[in-house]
Amino acid sequence: MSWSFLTRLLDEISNHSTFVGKIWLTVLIVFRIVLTAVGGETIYYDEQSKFVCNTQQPGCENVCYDAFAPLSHVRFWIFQVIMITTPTIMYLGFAMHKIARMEDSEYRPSGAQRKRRMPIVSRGAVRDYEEAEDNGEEDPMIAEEIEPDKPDKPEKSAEKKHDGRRRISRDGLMKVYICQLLWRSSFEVAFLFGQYILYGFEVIPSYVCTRSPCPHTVDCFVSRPTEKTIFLLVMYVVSFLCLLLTLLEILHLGIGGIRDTFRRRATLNPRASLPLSPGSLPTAPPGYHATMKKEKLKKGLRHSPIADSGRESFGDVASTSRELERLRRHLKLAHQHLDLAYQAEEGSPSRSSSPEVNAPAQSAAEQNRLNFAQEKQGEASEKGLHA
Amino acid sequence: MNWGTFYAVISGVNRHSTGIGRIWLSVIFIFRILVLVVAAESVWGDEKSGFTCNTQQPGCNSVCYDQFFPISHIRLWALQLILVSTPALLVAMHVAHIRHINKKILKKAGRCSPKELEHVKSQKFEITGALWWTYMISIIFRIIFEGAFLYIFYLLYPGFKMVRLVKCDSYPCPNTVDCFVSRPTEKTIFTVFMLAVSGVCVLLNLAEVVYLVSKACKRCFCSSEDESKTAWISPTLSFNRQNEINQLIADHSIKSKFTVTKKSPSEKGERCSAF
Repeated sequence: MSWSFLTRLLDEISNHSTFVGKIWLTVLIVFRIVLTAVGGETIYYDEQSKFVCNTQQPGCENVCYDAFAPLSHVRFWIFQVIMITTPTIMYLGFAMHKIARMEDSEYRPSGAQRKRRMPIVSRGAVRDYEEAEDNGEEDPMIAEEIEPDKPDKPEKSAEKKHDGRRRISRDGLMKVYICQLLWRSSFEVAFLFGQYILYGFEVIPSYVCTRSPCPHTVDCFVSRPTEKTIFLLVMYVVSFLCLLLTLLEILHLGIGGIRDTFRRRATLNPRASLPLSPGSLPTAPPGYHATMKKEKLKKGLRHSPIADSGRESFGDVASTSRELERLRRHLKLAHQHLDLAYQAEEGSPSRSSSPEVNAPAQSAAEQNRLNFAQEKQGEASEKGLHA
Repeated sequence: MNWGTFYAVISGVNRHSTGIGRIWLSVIFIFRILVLVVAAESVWGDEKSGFTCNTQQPGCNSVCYDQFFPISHIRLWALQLILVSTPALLVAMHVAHIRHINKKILKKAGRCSPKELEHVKSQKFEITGALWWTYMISIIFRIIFEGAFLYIFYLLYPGFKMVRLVKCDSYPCPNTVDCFVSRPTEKTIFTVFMLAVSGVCVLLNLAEVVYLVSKACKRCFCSSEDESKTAWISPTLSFNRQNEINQLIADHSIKSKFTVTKKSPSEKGERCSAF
């Protein structure tokens, strides 16, 4: 049990990440965890034993080493990796919890299948009382909520997309995802700053020490200073890279989100420019057309400023005045139609008689068509202005 | 120390835990075991070889080290982690016992198809009735063990700071000698970190206790009085009743009734939807 535990958890996270997130994960595992584990072992194993001071005074070396390195580089990087992966792991736990609560039909898990291929840890006699849990529980901490579903295998392979952004937003986890990205980047910045404060950019080859019980100012010599300096700089670069990737991911999600909202509004726009004429409805009650028209007017007004803002950011004042004009015209028309309708009602006692109601309705329809034609012309002229 | 096996044993408990229990388990594994294995063991690795005393007297070094560090921090933390995590196995044992009984019932009813057995194996249990009590006892033991170890820590190593210098005069040291501990600052940092995480774990356990008690109270008010009494007071009664019903069903062998009775332990929870 060492780094393999963390790397297994992170593998599971990659199913819930976007493309950039997966790159970040790879960089993290390959560059930071492996480097820390491997490089840390070989370069720093003799950091205390080979820390030699120019004195025979017993205890002086211990004390001077403690003053030189209150926290060793390797331990600092270990803390850094653990703290930086914590928001992501918390997000994973939350995502698992939320997905498990969703209906089975809505979500088809794809990560649990991977777990079956993981090397099986020997459990031995201790599991007797558990009475043979399935192999699917190799990583029960992660996969226990998701029960692997064999017949869904071909579906799952189709589900695996590079861009997990839509999947995240579909699952309703976007806010939490962005929150954990922000936390991660703030931890990254904090640790980078801390690394600079504690260690600077160089490991000095000799350290001057005056702590008791050293009898006087002694020179102490650090083992492998150049190698440690190179390693330190490499870890700086990797940390910056990870920070950059996290920021890129935030941007990617932001741009993707804006793009999605634009697409959604583009699909709504053609609906907004549908004909406003209600057509002839002889059996409709008198005030029906007017109210319907008013509602459509409101909708049209609501959609047009959005459409306009999508195209340009300036010229708002001009557009609002034009809209006011349009509104006034529509109101006028609505009043006229109302009057016509009431006249028609006064004229005919029974509402169900179609020909009498038809006449004003027909004239109203004609007028509507004329107005619509006028509006289209007006819009065309506006578009010409904008373009 | 083979933490891999330990992890394999403990993480099976995760299925039957509450949400807070899972968070507690994650904190244990990531912030305590992982840090212990990957970082702390290398800090305390040279604690004996780096412990130097200001004397040439043979044996003085060892005696003074033993006097000031009766048990190393690392071993103490490892013991603490093992003892704190094992009460969770009580819950796992109880669940296995329930599954065993369900299997027996199935076999009695004559439905030993592998699908049915699979269903029994993967069945998730609501934390009600006897399981609730087992769970509560396990959490209480966890809290007791954590508290006990924190107290032992305080007794052995008062204060959170690792001393840099200790004065030792036990035989065979000729006089009071100065002995120097290796990496005291780093050890202080790790000690503070591990104690802080222990505190967080205790808080999580307390929160879980409160959560379970509140859930049980809600269930009490929701369900009818008779059934709640049975669940609270005598878990064996409910089992016996279940066995009676199952016996009847085995005699008549009606499938639909069986599925209803199988769900009876979790009925209350579903009715209430307290979770």
